[in-house]
Amino acid sequence: MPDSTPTPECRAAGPADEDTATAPLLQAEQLSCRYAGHTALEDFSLTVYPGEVVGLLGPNGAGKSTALKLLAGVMPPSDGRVRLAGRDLLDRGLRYRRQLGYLPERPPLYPEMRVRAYLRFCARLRHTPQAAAAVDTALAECGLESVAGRRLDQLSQGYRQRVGIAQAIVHRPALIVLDEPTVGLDPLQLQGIRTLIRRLRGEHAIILSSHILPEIQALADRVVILNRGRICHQGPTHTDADWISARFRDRPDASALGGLPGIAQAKPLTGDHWQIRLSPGTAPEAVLAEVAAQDWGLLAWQPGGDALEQIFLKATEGTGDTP
Amino acid sequence: MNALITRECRSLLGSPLFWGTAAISQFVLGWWFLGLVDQYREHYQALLAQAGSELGVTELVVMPFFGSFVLLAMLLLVVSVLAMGALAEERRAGTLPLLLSAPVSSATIVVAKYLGRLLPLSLILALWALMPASLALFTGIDTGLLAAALFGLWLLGAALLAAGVFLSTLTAQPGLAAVSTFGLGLLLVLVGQGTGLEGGDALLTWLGLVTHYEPLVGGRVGSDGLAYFALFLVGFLIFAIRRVDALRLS
Repeated sequence: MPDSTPTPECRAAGPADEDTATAPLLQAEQLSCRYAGHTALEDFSLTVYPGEVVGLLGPNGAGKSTALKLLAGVMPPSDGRVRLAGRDLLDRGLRYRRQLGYLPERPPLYPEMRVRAYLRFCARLRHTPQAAAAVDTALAECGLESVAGRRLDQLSQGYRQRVGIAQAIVHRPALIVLDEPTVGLDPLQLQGIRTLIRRLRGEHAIILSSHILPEIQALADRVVILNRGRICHQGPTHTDADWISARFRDRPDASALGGLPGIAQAKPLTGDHWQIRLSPGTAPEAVLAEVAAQDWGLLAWQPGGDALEQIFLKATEGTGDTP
Repeated sequence: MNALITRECRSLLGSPLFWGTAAISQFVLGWWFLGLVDQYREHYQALLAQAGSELGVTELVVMPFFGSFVLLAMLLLVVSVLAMGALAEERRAGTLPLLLSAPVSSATIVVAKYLGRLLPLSLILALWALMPASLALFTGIDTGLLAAALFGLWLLGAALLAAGVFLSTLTAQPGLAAVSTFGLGLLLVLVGQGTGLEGGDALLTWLGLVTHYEPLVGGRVGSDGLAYFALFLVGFLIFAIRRVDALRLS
């Protein structure tokens, strides 16, 4: 059973390298969403600072999309409140939404429209001044100039996703909320979207969700792990350099592995997957030679370790995909 | 508001469903209208001349055309097709979050959806009206009565469209929204028409659409009829706004 209580550091809920002088952009307080006797999200609190990229991670059905829908104001929360740039979603809904760009899991595209006309519509819908210029900028930023005259139903999945992101940024919002922006993309398209998101950081704060850990690690400064509708971890995405992630064909003996020279601590994540912390000053290659010489069938050795992976696996251990 | 109305209009006017429905309704009503004209020429014209009656094409072609069940059935069909896409199609296609996350009020969304459909509906009604109006090329017709009947038809269509837009907010299935609109419209047409179910109940008779439509077809534009259609229209639009508000809570 994973620990469903937020870790103490996540209660602080600041950015990875928190600048306390910076005012938070988004403040969500104890958001909950319950319907038909089912709790989709419980006690969700999140603070996002300008320019920060926050990744929402969790298995399918963990409540990621629900959390993003609540933040985007397209679904009413059962409890809690959320403010964006000081505007409360419930009291100042329209002003709140002016500062927001939202890409749902399924890009909200009108198939009969052409890319430029669609973005112009989105810009006018958000009362964007100089809409034509804003559309040109969004087209350029998202690499869509070559398909600006194409119908939306004739675009590939990668381009559809780009148009989805372009509609979310065309009015230059302070916060962009992206729900699974890389799902269903081939590796080349994936790379393109990653590059695009990296380009957008800085000017916009971004919240993005994924159920794939490396995706979040590649893009986010900070990660929020959700499981069964609750936050079970918040923290930076960078990993601890003292740790090594190792996989074995046969399950090693804990005391034997931990007792090898140069190993300060060994923790199993699953039967064949271990986290190993080296003793200070130890050469990693010497420890690797020692471990490989054992009869456990060493399959993988990843320097840098992966504390986040450990947390994620623990948090979601045995849950599988929830419906 | 303008961006939404323009998009709705363009989307509808560019869809084969709209033009297909317009063409089918025009063909059916054209057939019905020619039947009325034929009936007038074959049976009534000589009789009226013999009797020296003041009745003419206005009373025997134009009024039966606007007062016929065929016309009301076509109106219900067109309104159902136009209304079904209002919100149900947005929900089905996954585009509703774009509107709900935008800085526009629920009232703006609903009213824009409504007006974006009222304009194409008015276009179809204008095409229908060309048929009785074309009689003026060959004979004298009472243009005031034609205008009142057309205004009544437009009011009836506008009111039913508001009900359709509301029903379209209740489901993600455009087909279900269309069937619901057609069913509700037909029920409201039948109520007060001596089906026996209302048993002379004054309230049910007052609720019936035809009760307020018939005087307009007869050229009598009264404040009670206008108030009824206005209440009907505004009431259903408010229901729709409340429903969209409940979806996003703003």
